[in-house]
Amino acid sequence: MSEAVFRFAREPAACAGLVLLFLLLALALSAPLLWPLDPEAPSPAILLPPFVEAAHPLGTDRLGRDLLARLLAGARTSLLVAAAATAAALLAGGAIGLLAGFSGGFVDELAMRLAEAFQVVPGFLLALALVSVAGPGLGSTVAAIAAASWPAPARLLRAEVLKLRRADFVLAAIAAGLSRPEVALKEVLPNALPPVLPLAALLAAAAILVEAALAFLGLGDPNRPSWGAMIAEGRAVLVSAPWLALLPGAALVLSVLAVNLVGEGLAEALAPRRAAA
Amino acid sequence: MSPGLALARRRLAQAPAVLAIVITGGFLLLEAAPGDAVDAYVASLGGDAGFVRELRERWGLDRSVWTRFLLYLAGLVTGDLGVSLAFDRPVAELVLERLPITLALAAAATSLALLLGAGLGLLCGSRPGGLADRLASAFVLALNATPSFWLGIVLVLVFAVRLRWLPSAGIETIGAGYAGVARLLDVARHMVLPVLTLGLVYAALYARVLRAGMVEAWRSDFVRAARAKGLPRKRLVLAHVARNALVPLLTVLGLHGAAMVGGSVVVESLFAVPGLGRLAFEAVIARDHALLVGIVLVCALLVILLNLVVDLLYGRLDPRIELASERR
Repeated sequence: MSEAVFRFAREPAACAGLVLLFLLLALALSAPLLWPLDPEAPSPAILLPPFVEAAHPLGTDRLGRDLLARLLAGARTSLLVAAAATAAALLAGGAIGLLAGFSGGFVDELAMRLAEAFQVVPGFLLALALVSVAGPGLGSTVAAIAAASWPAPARLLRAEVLKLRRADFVLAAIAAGLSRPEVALKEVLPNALPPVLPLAALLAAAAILVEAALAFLGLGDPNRPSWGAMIAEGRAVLVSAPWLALLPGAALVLSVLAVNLVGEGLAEALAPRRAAA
Repeated sequence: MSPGLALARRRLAQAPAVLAIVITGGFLLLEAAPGDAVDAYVASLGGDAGFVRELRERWGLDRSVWTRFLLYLAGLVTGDLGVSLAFDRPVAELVLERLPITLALAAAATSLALLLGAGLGLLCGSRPGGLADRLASAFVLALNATPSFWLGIVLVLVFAVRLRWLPSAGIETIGAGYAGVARLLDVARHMVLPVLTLGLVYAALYARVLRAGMVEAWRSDFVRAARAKGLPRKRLVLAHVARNALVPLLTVLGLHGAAMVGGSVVVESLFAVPGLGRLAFEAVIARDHALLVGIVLVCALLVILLNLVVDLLYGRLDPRIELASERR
């Protein structure tokens, strides 16, 4: 494990991604302290460009709301949805994958067909349909993204179980009298984690983009500022105030880039040691 | 039997189960939606309680869940996906009308993405770690992190608003009265920005996959052997390294054929392209669940077919692929 940390630390791109991600998290979490302006409070100073007035360093939107405060609030929404949806997808997918791999037979067959059924429906279309039926909101956004992304961790964990099931240490644990759930959780799961972490990063990056796209189409939580919704609002004044659409987009690119860089670093660091690479 | 054919046969054997789950899921979605088709119908066109009861009876909505499910299945068998309330037309008719536009958009975007992605991937993967790789990889990573709808807006800002080279929305110039080749050119001009938006995002993805596959191939024994044999570099890169990266590229291509239809929802809505994606968005806005579920079912069927084609291609690309090993 410590070896993997060293390998991660040697990758400049991965480290840059990690620093960027921590910075974003810190900004998002400390937003109420750092910049306590209400992101929803209108002001008479409408459509102020960035870097003109110290009271609104990044300018204001059509209602005179502070863009910096809204960007920070958008970061909270984005990161919260990404974390929750990824955790839900990993938990649900992981549980189903473990179950399928250990049970085999009909349960395995059913789980895999279920995963495939979720994968043949375009992910964004599935999320769209679920949000449409459940109604827009933070919870339905998270659930919709998780529902569209659980098959990947399920397949991955199932494959790991099939690979590890015949491993000596697993056979030894079974011989020592551990029950099946114990073997699954204590022996197989920890050893199946290395490929899961990069996948988690991949899912989180996708979740940020899907949340933004849903909000862009007006299907996000109407009570929370979201980068996607801000881009949609900015589109109406694209010519006179392009920064309103450009800045939230830049924030999105940076966040997804940070998560992707961390994910690539993890994949590289946790990959099985190659012989004389 | 060739391995590709065997894969395709197994996929074909599994397809009915997958399709059955998708159909059941679609039905459950319709059931879970607040209100039924009659509520929506009456809400938009009006009618008293007697009319509501009569309509429920005629559409079988007063029966049990199981009977309703059977009626739904019976409808699907005859190609009946229900009636769109927003358009007051059969869902199947609407879908078939809009599908060709989305397929054309997706085909054009995929071609562009493959061309550009293969170019960038080759540039990166032919000398991993070199200057060209570093620069191109940074570009690809940034592009890969860019949301398509935002990229589209930026492209509109540059090419439609500032430079005024291209139209910003729609599929043709309304009222221009073009015919024949002139109309075709007009449509093509309108499709440049949507295709570019959708294609660029996937180009980044394909470039990353190709590069990763090539990096992997450089480490393999057969490439080392080919190098030791003194094979010219160009031949080595193309015939050995890149060729071995084609299989993961094909996998991603098959998987993302589905994602592209999802991506077309955003891009078609952004550019007002009257395709299947925009239809899905219109269905959501109108709370037309029958239409939305119909689109989901058709897309699922298309993706299953696409996966079959990909399976058939696998065997041709990589002789090592065998039926015994579970793919993906």
